[in-house]
Amino acid sequence: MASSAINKLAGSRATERNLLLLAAPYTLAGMLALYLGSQRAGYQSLILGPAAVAAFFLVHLYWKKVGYKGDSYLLPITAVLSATSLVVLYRLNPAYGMRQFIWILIGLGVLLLTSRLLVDFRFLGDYKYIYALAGLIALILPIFFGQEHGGAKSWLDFGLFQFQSSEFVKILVVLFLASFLTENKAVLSAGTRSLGWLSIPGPQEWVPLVAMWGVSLLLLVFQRDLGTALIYFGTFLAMVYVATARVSYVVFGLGLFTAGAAASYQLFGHVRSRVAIWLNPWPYADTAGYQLIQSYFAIGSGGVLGTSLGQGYPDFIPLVHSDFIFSAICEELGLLGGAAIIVLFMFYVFRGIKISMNTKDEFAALAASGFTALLGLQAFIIIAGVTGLLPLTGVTLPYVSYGGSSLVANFILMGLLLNISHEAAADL
Amino acid sequence: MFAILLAVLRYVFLIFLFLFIFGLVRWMINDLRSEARSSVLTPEQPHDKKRAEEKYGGRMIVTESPLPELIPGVSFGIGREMVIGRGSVSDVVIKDSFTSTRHARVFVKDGQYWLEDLGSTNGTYLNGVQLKKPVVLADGDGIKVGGVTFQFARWGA
Repeated sequence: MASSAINKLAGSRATERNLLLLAAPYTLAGMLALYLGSQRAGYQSLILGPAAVAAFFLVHLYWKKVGYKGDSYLLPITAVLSATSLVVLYRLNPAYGMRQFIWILIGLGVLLLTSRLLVDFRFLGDYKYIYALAGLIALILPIFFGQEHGGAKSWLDFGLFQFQSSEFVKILVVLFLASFLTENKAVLSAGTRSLGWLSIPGPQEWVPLVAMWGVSLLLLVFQRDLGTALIYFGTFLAMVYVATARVSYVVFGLGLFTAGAAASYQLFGHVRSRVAIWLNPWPYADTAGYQLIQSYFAIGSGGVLGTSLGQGYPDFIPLVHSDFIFSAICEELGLLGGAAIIVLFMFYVFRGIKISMNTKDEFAALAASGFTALLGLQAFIIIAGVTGLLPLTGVTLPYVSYGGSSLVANFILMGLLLNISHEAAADL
Repeated sequence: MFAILLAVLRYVFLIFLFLFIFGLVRWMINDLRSEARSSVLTPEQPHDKKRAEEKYGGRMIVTESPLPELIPGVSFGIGREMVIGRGSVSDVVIKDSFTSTRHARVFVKDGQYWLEDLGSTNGTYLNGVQLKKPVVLADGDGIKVGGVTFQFARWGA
């Protein structure tokens, strides 16, 4: 079909090289500006920039050598997002920048391993009930042994490092749903019994789906992790819609979610206070609304062009390095910088949808669209949260926020997307 | 002087970010253009099934069948795509309890015929081996869907 010309492009990975060449001066300029402009920035800032650029190039060269045919755009987009992360975190606190740099290297290593070991990703579809079980265990463990960070009890402490299991479970959720929906697609989209004008599937098909809804509510209730619950459920609805093309499931799902959200609003104080702060943060300016109001101030003082790197005061926002990193970007790089980050995520999602459309079978298509929906929703929810479009829910901004679990999980997700596109391009 | 250079450098950072985005847009547009061009070169006419059948020429011939309506020797033109299943919307309907509603599909991609199992309950077999992922068909291949066996003929029968 539309293949041979693109194939040659993808095969040579020339696009990837050219885009990485454009990303390199961005990283270097950022780190140089930090080095020259701040007393706190040490000589490491001169090493981190070139080292990060080199690491991304090494991944590119390795793929070129082994003839990997995965999508050419995802790596450069991720390189720019990671570079933004590195520069902004180093500017906030050089120690964060150093640790994030090490996590980026680990993430790239994991990405290489994913593209090497899981290149024949199809076998992943065979273990769906193991994923369901592993995912549930990983979600339940933090309820009993977890550490609470910023209201969400979703961290496991391993002494040496802390680990947020829900970041990895989201990959298992997509694989489980892709496998399950591939198997049951026909029944779900046709319906097996009719109820007057409406044909509905039998209980064996919809019970697992309702169970999924239950799991996301469980998260909401016990881990107090509103953001992750929202992401899981949104991804789930997107994948059901992709599999069945039936709007009724989406409407039904949204109805269920609204009911669940309304019930948790009535039952839980922390949900009520989030909504109250979202509607009007000013009465809580010194207490629970402080963080969000500082975020508004930061975004507002940035203006269109921003205060320029190192000249703003993003440190006034508590936890600015993780959930609120987008506010720091808006303050120092302005509306333009913030919009650029959003545009990069839109391109990422665009490539994801393209990868999903070029696949040959349903498991690959569903997995690709699930991963894409997951990443897009996560970026949307946290950006909407810190700008006041949605009630604030603590999730990380993929590839940008500080944090190892999130970074490594998102690199695995990207590796799987690339493997799906590699298979589609290699078989043509 | 240093202060001015530094201020410029700080905005250069932002400019490089946008240069990257412009590069991204340019390469993606090139991609989409070349995609559009190659699909103009091989026009698809899904609505004109007869012509597509003549153009691609592949056929499926029934060789074994327990069903009275599919007698061995009956052949079907594949065209660009053919869905085999129990459902009445399939191109080839097999009214057999071992067949799923949408069981398997044969389609053209880059001048090759591909066979894909559409998540059927009892599987699709190519020359006796169960299909795990889409594969290219060769002339004379035997395809088993439910109780019915077809032979694939690349250049028409």
